[in-house]
Amino acid sequence: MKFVCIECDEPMKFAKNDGLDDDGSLSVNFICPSCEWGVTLLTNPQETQMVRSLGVKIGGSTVPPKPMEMLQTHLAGQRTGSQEVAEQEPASGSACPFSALVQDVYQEAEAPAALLWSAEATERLQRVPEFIRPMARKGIETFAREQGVAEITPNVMEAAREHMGM
Amino acid sequence: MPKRYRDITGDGGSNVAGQVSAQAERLKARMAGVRHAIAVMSGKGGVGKSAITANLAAYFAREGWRVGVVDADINGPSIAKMLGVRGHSLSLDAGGVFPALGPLDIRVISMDLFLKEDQTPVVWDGPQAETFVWRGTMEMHTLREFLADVHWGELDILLIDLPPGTDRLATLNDLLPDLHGSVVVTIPSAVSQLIVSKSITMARDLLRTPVIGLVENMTAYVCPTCGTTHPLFAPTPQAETLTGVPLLGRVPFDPRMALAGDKGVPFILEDAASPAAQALAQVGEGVLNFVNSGSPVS
Repeated sequence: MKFVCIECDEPMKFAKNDGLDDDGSLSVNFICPSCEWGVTLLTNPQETQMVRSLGVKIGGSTVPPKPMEMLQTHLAGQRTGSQEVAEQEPASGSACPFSALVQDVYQEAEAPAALLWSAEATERLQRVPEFIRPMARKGIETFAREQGVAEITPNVMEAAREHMGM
Repeated sequence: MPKRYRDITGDGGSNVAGQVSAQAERLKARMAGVRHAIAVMSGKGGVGKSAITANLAAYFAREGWRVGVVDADINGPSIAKMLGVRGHSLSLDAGGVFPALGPLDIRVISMDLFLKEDQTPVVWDGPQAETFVWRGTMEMHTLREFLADVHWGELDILLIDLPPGTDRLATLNDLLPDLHGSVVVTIPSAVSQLIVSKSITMARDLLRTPVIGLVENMTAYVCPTCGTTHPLFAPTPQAETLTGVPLLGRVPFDPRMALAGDKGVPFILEDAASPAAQALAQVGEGVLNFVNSGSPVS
């Protein structure tokens, strides 16, 4: 989606957003860099969602998407076990006014990024008694986030265990 | 002359076209390890596509082939149950998700493996009014991720179980233009044949993808006591005559086949000597001949 100032015949630039409304609609302002004439783009919730459903990294990306990223990011009611597959990539900088804005507002609205669990770490977690497994998982993930670790490995689990004095 | 869309290079930074191209490249790279990708389809629902898929997978696995199955029915997934992998906990590494392993190490991916409970439907985060605007796009990209983001490894055959709908093969063909062919499942009813014929036209004449052959499912009821067969439907013209597509086999209805599916065991493995299992093996043999020769079944 591109906007052109009729008077100046110049591509318009993103100026500011008024954020995502409760229903998912957006309000976005654009300004002509030459004459500073402005327009506001209003999208309905379906139009906003349509951009998200294209399976692309809105706002651009310098790294490839994570496996099953779109499914994991957008599917409601997922199995706890399948959370192992989830990870959401941090937003990268973008000059695209509309798509970058959609990305930004959803970044604000969504939960913190899920962490990647390696196959070895997943297997090791399965050996934890079931009744304390959720607590162990939460503790390990909290530790990993504090340490800025993106992927849980057996080494991270060991460090978390020592950190928690277990 | 005022500027038009094409006069402005780029899209301001998202590079959506580049990302879509990268998606296609990623899918192509993953599929490089797959010798044959075959769709199992039917325009009509309830004709037994998934049961045929599960048993075809078992046939090829029994032949020593490395087999993968994609359950492309995003909203009504049944392959995970039929291949006994429900409840499997998925894991991943940076390169992809590891598929569940079914009987004879059949590799399986299905939306069922992602849903929380039996009753959980597929619901996407987003505005819940007028979801038709974007829901189909979500489903297509989910199928793309099933194909591109799973550690399929080296496969001799990948079977893709399509949901009902004459448009489904077109979607798959957009993702996998090198699809090797499709198996069409029908039942001997006029209604089914009417709809299935549209799917065949779509596949053969519009998409120009090879139709390997027809499977006529539930052709007759086999009495488990005396072994005699009784028709389940009123006589109809031969499906292969109507459609011009070769017949791979006629699979009789056997209640034990449904029970085996419920248990997660392909019937072809459970009772190989039964008429239904033998018919399924004949279907498998037809597909095998096709993929080995690269030409339609005659």
